[in-house]
Parts: sequence; C-alpha cells; structure tokens
Amino acid sequence: MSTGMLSPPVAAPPPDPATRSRLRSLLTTVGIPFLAVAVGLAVGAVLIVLAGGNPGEAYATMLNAALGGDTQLGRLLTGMTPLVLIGLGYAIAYRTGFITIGAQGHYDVGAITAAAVVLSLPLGTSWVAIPVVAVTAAVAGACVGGIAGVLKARLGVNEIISSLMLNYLVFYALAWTVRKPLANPNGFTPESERIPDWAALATIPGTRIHIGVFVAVAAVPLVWWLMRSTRFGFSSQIVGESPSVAAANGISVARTIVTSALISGALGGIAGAIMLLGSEFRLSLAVSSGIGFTAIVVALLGRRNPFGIVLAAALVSGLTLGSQAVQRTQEIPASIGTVVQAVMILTVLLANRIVERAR
Amino acid sequence: MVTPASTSRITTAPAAELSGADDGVVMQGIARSFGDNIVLRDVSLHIRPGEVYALLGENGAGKSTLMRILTGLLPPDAGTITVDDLTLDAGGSDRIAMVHQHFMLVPSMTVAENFLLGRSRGVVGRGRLRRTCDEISALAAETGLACDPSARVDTLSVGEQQRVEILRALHLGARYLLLDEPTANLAPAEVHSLLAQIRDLAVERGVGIVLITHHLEEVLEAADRVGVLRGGRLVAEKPVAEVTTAELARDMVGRDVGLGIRRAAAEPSGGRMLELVGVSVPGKLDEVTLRVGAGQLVAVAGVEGNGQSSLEDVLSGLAADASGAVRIADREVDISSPRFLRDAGVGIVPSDRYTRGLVKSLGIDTNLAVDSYTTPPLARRGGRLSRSAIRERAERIIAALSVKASSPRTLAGTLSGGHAQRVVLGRVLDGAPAVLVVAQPTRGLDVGATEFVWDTLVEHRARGAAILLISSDLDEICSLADRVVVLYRGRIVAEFDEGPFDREALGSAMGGFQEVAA
Repeated sequence: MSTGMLSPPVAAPPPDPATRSRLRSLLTTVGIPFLAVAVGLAVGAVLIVLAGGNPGEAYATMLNAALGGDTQLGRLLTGMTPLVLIGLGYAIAYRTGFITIGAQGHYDVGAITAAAVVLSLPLGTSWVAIPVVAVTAAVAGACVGGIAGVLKARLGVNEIISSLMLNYLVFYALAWTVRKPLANPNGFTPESERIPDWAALATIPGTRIHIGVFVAVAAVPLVWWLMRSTRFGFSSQIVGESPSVAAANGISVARTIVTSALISGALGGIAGAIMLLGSEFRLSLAVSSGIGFTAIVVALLGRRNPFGIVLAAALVSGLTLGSQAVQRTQEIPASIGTVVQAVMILTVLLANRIVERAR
Repeated sequence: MVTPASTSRITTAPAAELSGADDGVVMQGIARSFGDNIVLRDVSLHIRPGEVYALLGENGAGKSTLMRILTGLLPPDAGTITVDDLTLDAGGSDRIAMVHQHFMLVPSMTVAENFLLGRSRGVVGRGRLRRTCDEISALAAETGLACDPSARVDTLSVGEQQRVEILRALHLGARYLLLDEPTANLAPAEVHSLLAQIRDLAVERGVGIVLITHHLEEVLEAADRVGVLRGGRLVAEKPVAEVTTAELARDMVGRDVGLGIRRAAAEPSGGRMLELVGVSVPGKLDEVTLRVGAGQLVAVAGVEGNGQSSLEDVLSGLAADASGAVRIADREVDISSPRFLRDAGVGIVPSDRYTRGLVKSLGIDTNLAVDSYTTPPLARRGGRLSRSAIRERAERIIAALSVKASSPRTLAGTLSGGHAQRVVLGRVLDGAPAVLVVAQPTRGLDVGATEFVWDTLVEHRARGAAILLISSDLDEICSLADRVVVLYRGRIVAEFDEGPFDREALGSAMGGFQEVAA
C-alpha cells in the first residue's frame, strides 16, 4: 500500500487514502478560516500599533466588549442575528452558483415592509400579528431576490450587477418611504414614526435578547437540513458545481437558480423585519447600514456551512462591537475592525485558490 | 541541403523564382511526448514553396502537436526544423503562420484593427489605420481573397473570417501557411472556392501550404502531395496524382485490429427498439433515419464534426431545435428533455465525461444519484432524500463495476479516466435501460479501460439491450458493431450491414467518398 517508504519495519500502517483525503478536506475546511482570522488579527495588530495603541490591550478590550457580560452578550447575539440569516441566504445562493450581492436590498425591503405593515395595518395585539409581518417581509425580500434570479435564469443577466443595482433601487425606495408615505411629521431627520408597542419583539426579561434571535437559531439547522437532505439541496449543489451536468440529467437549472434566489431573498427580508422590530423600532436611512455586504464576509468565512456561518457571524459581530469599544476607550479608529474583516476575506480567497491549485 | 543554418539567406529574393532544393520548411526527426504518451516519433517532412501539402490523420494521430511545434508553440524533444535554411528556434518564424480552426479574431473589431493587433504600440492613428485598409484592399485584390477591411469581424460569415485570417497571415509576411481544417465550418459551395483560392496562393504567389484535413476529396482537389500521420508516425507520403482514396483511407486507419472482434454471439432478436425517423438539426444533422433492434449494436462511424455531437444531443434530450421523430419500442418519445428520454428507457453515456457525465468536485455517491434522486428509493416523500439509499446505491455500483475508490465519497475528479467512465457506465446501467446510447466511450482511455468498456457493452447487448455506439474509432466500431452507418456532413452516407467490415470502404465513406463504399 505504501509506496516504497523506508519506515521502521513495525510502523503503524499508513492511513488509507480515504482517511487521508478526509483529513485533508477537514484541514482546509477548518484551517483556512482560522488562518484567515489569524492573518486578519495580525494585520489589525500592526494597524493598532501604527495608531499608537497596544494590540494586546486593544484585543482584550474587544473581547470584553463582545463577551464581557450579559449586556455585551445580548448585544452580540442581536447583532449576529441578521448576519446569520443573511449569511444563510448567501450560502444557499452561492451553493447554487448564484453569486448575488443583493442582501442589502432584501434586508431594506424587509424593513420597509415591516414598518409599513405595523404602522398602517390595524393588526393589533393578535398573536398572528408578528408572524404576518415576518411573512410579508419575507415575501417582499423574495420578490426583490427573485428579480435577479429570473433575470439570470431566463436571460443570463449577471447577478452580481443586477443584484447590486437592485440594492440601489430599494435604498431609494427606502429614502422615499421615510420622507413621504411613512414620514414622521414631528421628526427632524427623514424617519418614520416609532412602531407601536405591540409590534416590538418580545425580549427575555432583563436582557436585550429578543425572539428574533431564536428565529436565527432555528434557521441554522433548517438550512443545514435543506442543503443536505432535500431534493432542492441536491439539485442546487449539482447546478452550482456543474450546470452542464445538471442540464444533461434533466435538472432544471433555471428553476433551481430562481428557487435559491427566492429563498435567499426571503431570509434577507426576515432579517430586515427582525432588525426593525427588535432593535431599530423606526424606519430611517440608518437601517441601510451595509449589513448585506458584511454578511458576504460571514458567508465566505463560514465556508457556506450553516454552523460555520454562526461562528463567522459571532466573530464579525464581535469585531464590530469590539472596535467601537476600542475607539471609545483607546481612541483607536473603529475602522480597524473593517480592515481586519477585509484582510480575512482576502486571506480566505487566496488560501482557497492555493489549495485548489495544489490539488 | 547541408549548408549551415548560420549562413544568412534571410534576404533572398521571392521564393517563387528561386525555389531551389534548400528552400522550404524542412523538419527532420521530430519527436515529442507528453509524459508516457508518445505523440510524435521521428517525423520528417519537407514542405516546398508553391505547393499544397495535405496532412491527413485521425483524431489523435499527432497532427496538431506537429503544427504546434512548427509554429514554435511547443519545443520538440528531438529533431530539427529549418525554414528557408534558417534554423527555427523557440518562438517560431515570421515566415510560418497558422490559421486555426477556431479563428483568432476579435469579433467586435474591424478587419483592419485585427490586422494591427499586437503589431502596434500606443495609439493607432487614423493615418495608420487608413494605410492598413489600403494594404488589405490591395492584398485582397492581388490574391482574389475578397475582403472589406472596415467591416466588423462579427458581421462577417465564417468563410469571410477565414479569408481574413489567411490575408492577415500573408500581410504579416508569412510564406508558409498552416491551415487547420479550413473547411470544417464552411458550406459546400464555400469549400470549393476556398480550395481554389488556396491553390492560387500556392501556384501564383509561391506560398507553401499545409492543409490539415480529414476529407479525402479535398486532398484530391487541392493538394500536390499528401502525407499521412498515424500513431505519431508519418506512414505514407506521396504525390496526390499517384494515390487513390482507398489507399489513403487504409493508410489513415491502419489495418491492425486491436482487441479482437466481439460480435454478438446470438442472433439479434431484431425488432425496432430504437428508431430515428428523419431527425434533423438545422445546419448539423440532415434527415437521419436509422434503427437499432434489441440485442443489436449499431455503430455510427464518422470523423468528428460531422454531426455526431448533434446526434448525441438529440438522444440526450438536449437539442432544442431538432425535428423528426425518435421512437422507443414503436412509441414516439418527446425529446425536449433528458428526463423524457430517460423515462422511456434510454441511457446515455456522454462523449464528454466531465461536462455532461460527472461533477469532478463532488463525491462518487452524489454523482451516482444525479439521475435518480427524484425517484424512490432515493427520493422520499415531501421532497426529502434518503441519504442511506444514496449511499447504498453508490456502494452497489462501485462494487458491481469494481470502481477503484476508497469510499463512496471519494471525489469524482480524483478518479482516473477509466474509472470515471466506470462510474458513468454504472450509473446508466443501474437503471437497466432498454436502449443505450454510447458516445466515444473509450476516448482517452488506455487499453485495459477500453477492454472493460467494450466488455460491458457486449454483456449488455447479450442481455437484449439495443445499443447505439457513436464513435470515431474504427477499431472500436469493427470490434463491436453488428451494423455500421457512416455520418458525413450531417448525413448518413453509407451503411454496412454485415461484418467483417471493410475498413478501407469505411474510411473512404468517412472521408466523404460514399461511392467507393457503395
């Protein structure tokens, strides 16, 4: 089995190729993200020194800001929630080979829809109220996501460009909404009125942790199951890896892409609704904060694995909270957090290529 | 002939007047291999100015490697090349230009702009462009290769683009042209005018031309001499005036029967399991009608590019613009989706193992489920999959075909070609299809793997399957087929009902000489 190795005569048998290849794939799955984090933090340390700070102290502050106590943990979890939901949506889309960057639009339209529904419909305190809001927001997100999907599937329009442009479209719809139909007559800046109390998501008493967090927690295994154990999950993988093999075997490439686009849109829409009803409480331009792009970092760093995405979301969210804290206490610019994220992504992409070429 | 290459003769007068013995492209003892695969062995060629030299050979005979060496894209392992007595070194010679089968033109640019590509630095002024246009027009008038220098390339027909390529090569100062299957994409009328123009270029301008082709008639029509490559050797070289198509066909395909004949042991039960009636694909297939009985293997022979891939597409359910009827066991089948054909009992082994058959980046188990995950037992209710059924099926097929894989999850891309083909075959055969369509099943496989594929097909035929084998490998066809039809330019031009098959006749028909075969 071994190819002429001059090993000690009674050496343990070499691992069979299957184990070895599985080990190697495990190594890349886990190794690349960790490498990326290490490189990112190292570059961050250099920047902190350049900004006149102490890296050890700064990272300690960051860690404390993310995990230091109940308040911090609550903030971390609520911050992670939209990242996880959007990241899962990206994971499904990317698995299908649908490289959308449109989650910001899905998220914004979800927030707009949620605000419009709770501010204009007399849903009252009925228990169906919140689910209705969530479903309408999901549908709105799916509609926006579906446009890019249909354009790609039917006409071959590049989804990166179409989804990016749809982001702008939705953003200006948001800008119009907060100035005209939902404008707060007493507001100073463009914003809506505060959502009614019944619409605010319930929280665990004494914490900031709202029920939206549990939606994300439930979505993780659900998406994992969807990818692994359903017909859609199977066909999306084939379409993503080789559309020509999929077509030759009668898998509808177009339908699979559109389905993925709809699901990722819906997850983005729900994320937007949760953020509005759980953290923001009123629609404003600040809602459109770039989270749809941060979630790309999460999806790539999490290697499109639902559980990996949770870890990546925790990291990214913690980094954001931490760098804000560092800015407050040590006057180190919070943008270092963004730089670290960017370095991590570049490392992941580079390492992926190197591993692929080494094969 | 033995003048040292260093004596500079680069400033000789035009070749047409001075074509002495030293002129021309002289290749001596060229050898080249890729790894263990010896592609060229000791090939010596002499191409003289003013002649058309036809180079014949089957797919994989070494023609394109030889041409890549001649253009300086690839260094030979051994041998020397001189061009008009100058040693050819890496990087090729300005005097030799290749016109590829797939044109190297930028479609969104005009003809003149394409001429200037890579030959000008910085900004190309209007003056330069106009001068180039004039030069092209003059050259076009002189050579009779009509061409509008200000037309955008993407508005030109294939034939016009071909002329642009040739003109560009001449404009660059080439005195030797290598034309790689120049007629492959042309309509019949264009073929004749192109061949006439090629002859004119040789006779009137003294250009030395290598014409690579599969078509025997083109050799007779345009060439002065013909060389045949087979298995990396130059097996024949003669003046065209002295050859017959039968001879050429024999030289091209060889005589040695490789792995023995495996014709059906029992009489085929006949009937019409698979029947194609007037199947056409615009521009590719023309009214193809054939039938395959149960327990019969019918081979579709032909040089690649004569409609085989369209035929495969039709039977895969992937030819959207096909017309005509396909019947399985006397029932017409809707050919608009791969699923309809599969449900009707047709199994496909695609010619392109990796674009249609297998996803390299996924496991064998996933690849084996690709055709069956929508039906039980792999599919469960509510759109769910049974992962255990997927695994069991994979283990069963891996065992049945002895696929060399350490686990069902081994990535398909890590398998050798032969074992990858076993996975494809296993997947298709697991459904016990009544009709099997097999396209180029042993392409790129070594002898052992080829043997396995052949045995598998024979075994399946013995069980009563109707098999349609689309192949450009005559050894394969002669060893396996009960009947052979020959596809040439999209039409069935010859049929051979009974073996042993006359390889010369087959070769002639494949080269477009059906009258020889008739």
